[in-house]
Amino acid sequence: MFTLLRRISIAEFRRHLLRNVLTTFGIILGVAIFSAMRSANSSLGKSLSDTIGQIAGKAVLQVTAGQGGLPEEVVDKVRAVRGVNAAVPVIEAVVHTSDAMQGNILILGVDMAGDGSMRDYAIEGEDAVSDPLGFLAQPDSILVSQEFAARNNLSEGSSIEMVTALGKKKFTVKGIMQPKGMAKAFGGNIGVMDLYAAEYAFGRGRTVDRVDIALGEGVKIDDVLPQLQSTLGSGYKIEPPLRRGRQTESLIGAYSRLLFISSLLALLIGIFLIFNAFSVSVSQRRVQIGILRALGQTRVQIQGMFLGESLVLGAIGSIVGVVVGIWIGHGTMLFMSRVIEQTYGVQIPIDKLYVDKFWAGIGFLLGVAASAAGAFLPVRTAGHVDPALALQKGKYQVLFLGENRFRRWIGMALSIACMAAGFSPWAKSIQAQLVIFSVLFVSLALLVPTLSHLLARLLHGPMGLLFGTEGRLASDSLVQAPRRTSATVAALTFSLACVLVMASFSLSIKTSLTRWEDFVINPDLNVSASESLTARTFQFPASLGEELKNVPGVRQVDSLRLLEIEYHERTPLLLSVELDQWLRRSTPLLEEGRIDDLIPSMVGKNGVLISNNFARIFNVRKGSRLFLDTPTGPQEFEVAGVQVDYISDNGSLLVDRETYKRLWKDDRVDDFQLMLERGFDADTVKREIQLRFAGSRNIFVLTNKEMRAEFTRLTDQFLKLQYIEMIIAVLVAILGIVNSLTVSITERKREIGILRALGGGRRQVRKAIMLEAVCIGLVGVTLGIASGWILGFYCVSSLNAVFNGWVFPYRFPAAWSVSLIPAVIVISLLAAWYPCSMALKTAIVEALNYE
Amino acid sequence: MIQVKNVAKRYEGKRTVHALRGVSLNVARGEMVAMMGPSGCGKSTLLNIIGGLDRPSEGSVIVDGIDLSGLDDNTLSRLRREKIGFIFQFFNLLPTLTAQENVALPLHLARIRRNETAVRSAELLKTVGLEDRFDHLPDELSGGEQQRVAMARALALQPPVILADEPTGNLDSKTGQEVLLLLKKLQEQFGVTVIMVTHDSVAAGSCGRILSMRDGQLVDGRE
Repeated sequence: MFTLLRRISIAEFRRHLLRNVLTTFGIILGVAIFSAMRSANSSLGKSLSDTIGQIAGKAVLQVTAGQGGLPEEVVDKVRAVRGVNAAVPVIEAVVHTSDAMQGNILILGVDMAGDGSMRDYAIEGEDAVSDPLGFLAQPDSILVSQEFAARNNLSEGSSIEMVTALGKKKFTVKGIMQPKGMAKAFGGNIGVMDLYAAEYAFGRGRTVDRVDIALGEGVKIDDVLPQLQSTLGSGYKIEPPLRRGRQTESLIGAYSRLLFISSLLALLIGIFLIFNAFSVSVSQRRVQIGILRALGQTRVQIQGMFLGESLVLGAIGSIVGVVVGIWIGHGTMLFMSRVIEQTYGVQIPIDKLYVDKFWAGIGFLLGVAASAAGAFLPVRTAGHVDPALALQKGKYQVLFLGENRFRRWIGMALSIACMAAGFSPWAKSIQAQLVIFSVLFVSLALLVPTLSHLLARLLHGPMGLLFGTEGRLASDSLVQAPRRTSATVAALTFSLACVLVMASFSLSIKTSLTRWEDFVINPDLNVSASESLTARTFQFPASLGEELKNVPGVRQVDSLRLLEIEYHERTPLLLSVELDQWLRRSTPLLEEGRIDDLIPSMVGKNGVLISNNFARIFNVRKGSRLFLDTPTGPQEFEVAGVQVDYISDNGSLLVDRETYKRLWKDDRVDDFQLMLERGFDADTVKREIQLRFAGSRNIFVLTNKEMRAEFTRLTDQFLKLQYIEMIIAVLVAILGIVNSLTVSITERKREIGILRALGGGRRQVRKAIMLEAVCIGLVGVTLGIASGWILGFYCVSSLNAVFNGWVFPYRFPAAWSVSLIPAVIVISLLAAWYPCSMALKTAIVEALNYE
Repeated sequence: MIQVKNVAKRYEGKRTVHALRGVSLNVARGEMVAMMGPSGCGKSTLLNIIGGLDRPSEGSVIVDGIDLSGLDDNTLSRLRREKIGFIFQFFNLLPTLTAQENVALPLHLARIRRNETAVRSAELLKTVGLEDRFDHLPDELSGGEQQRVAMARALALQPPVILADEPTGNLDSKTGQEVLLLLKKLQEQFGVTVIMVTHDSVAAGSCGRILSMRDGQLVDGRE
């Protein structure tokens, strides 16, 4: 095999350089996206774990109780556990500085007296804060990192203005932390305040965000964990600091999954391109195969040579892909880093891209495997070349039997079976769905030759009418050569189908969210303690609700509290509101249960209204019983109904506010939602609220119109990656068109020579070839739209549900489909122009001898 | 009908190859001429130049009163279409088209109406004895049948000249003989001028005149 590779294949590579380079692009693109995604993931993961480690200091365990925080008394309970050396309370808040240039800063509120045992506070110039008593006594004291100070020209005694729960407040720098340990976290965007001052400034009441624990010498985590858990009860999470990065990792994970799908998509198209190129190669080299067989090479050796070529091509493509991937990984990393910044509020600096050798290896193997898979059938065919026929010059041997009825019926039966199986109740696991999706894909691929032949026949008449002889020649050629064009059409079909699947996703999600928005955004005004609908840095005290009721024009005030809770390894969102009031202004879109039953089963009771995706993810329904961990211990809830809700991809649970206050021991409020008296203008009431409260607290008021605009912005942000996916899919589709047409036209040099010898003028032959490219484009785009519809419907309606439980009503991307038609025609023409010109430039005599 | 004046053909490369060295000849209308000689002597090159498939390095070729050397690509294509029919050793049929579609191809290129194309291609296939092979693809036909399709295709636009490059070279002797007889019959029936390159002296014997070539020059039967 190696002798053949060395002696024959290298020369063949050189001879068909353009074809090989274009073919390898599919592999390069797939491996590059995969590699970029993995490199960015590894870099961010490493950076994230470094950051978490820096902030955690000597803490080996951390106690949390979800976003609701935990009462201060927990600290003493933890300290009392044997083996615990130190337990310190911490408040963590991402805070805006008033000066936009200074950006956001992560403030740690710590007990300055005890936290030194947990974290290293090396202060510049001295060993400690110059006036520790003053630091504690004055609630406006703050330590900042040297990096932050240098960037903003701050020194000891400087003041810095920050946005707190009480509005904008000035703080005084009482020390500059040296750039080591904690002070290096988040690129130095970090400050330290006294715990009690932080509780006050950030509206935490008498709760802290977490308790950091250091153990005594020789004490193992496993020794203290059971005792800690039994002391605190199940409402508390006790885990090593690094595990707290899971939320961010899962956030990156969602984006990574999408990029992973993109890389698979590119590799899939790569498989078609390799199949196309090797089919042509085997067809062109049948004389060579005949000679080699005549010289004593076995079928297996011939197949080995072609397989070896595919592996070499795959290996070259994969190596280039890994390198390109590392290069574009920087961009991916920045994108993901921005996503994290939006979650954390502060940026996690990533100095350099970390190349994970394991994943680089996996990317390489994926590329090589894709190449081998694409070459499988042509390699098999190469072994079946009849040497006697191959050596008879001018004797054309049919190498591909192409379409047959059996394959057609199998394709049809499998397609129907997959659609039925995909929506059946037993196909609930991700694995089952992926298998069904793959089989559906293969079944459609089996139908492509038959359908493309049928469509080519339909094009015959119109092409003749519109373009005369050349149009007829073009469509005739397509009708008569299904074997030749099937792979080209298939590559085109599935590239375009992938674009439409992405478009279906975006459109279906956007349409569903817009419909849901009409239902959910119905208050006249939303009063929030944080600057956006998603940020929950600050909360209001419940008493503010009463004050808001006194504002002229305000008819109803609903107190909304939202926090993520831990449930079966996921973090659904818990919402609480005064249910009876809320139902007066809202009509939930119920999938299960009746609105009239909600108040009796939920108000003051352990009843919960769950979202439809929560129901699917955790396989629960109306009447099911759930156990939720609360600060008062695990509590049993009965599902009172299932509503359509898109607020969290981990699902949501709604409880009555009284129930929440009773069980979570928390009466703070994230948002007050206001309904106004008839005749009152929302903007006027908004101004009145701002006038009344802006001086005393941090308050953000949005009118219904502004909320909708903000919601649209968030939806677009959520869909941004989908759009990037679509751009990748479009690029892959263009690559598919260019590659397959180039290969197809280059292969037809001899045919072009015959046409020219028979008196076809250059212009005439060019027109026929270009029109054939248009025909291929039209057939490909038609089948692409049909396949995109089937695959899109399946993905949106069935596959998506196993990932996040959401079933979006499918929307066909009509605008995308329509705009693809002219786009594909133009790209087909452009793609065909160069190879057609090159083929026409070949001397006729040379072209006639082209094999 | 055909005048070749001092035609030379050189292929430039690492070393210049002289394929033709000042060849001159005249072929009268309706004449059937055989061109013989060893492999590589320049027979096919001369035939390609006469047919306008290739251009000479020097000299000129006049076909039916038209000097090929001054023609642009489009006019040359039209001349090939209207004045010359080709028959190749390896048939050069389009493998994806049926026998009838292959014959109809020059008619399509000449923009002949579809009905007429269908009628004429069917008639021509009948003439070459392939009335039962209309819908067969080339790989479903024998070598002799493929060559007959190629002959029908060459005659599709009733050109005054047929250039045949070893038409029997890829056939067994019996089939080759049948093809030659058919070619002769067609030449007489349609009154076309035929130049046939061949290695086969029997085939050459069926022609009115035999030209011999060696090392790019005519050595026998010269004008």
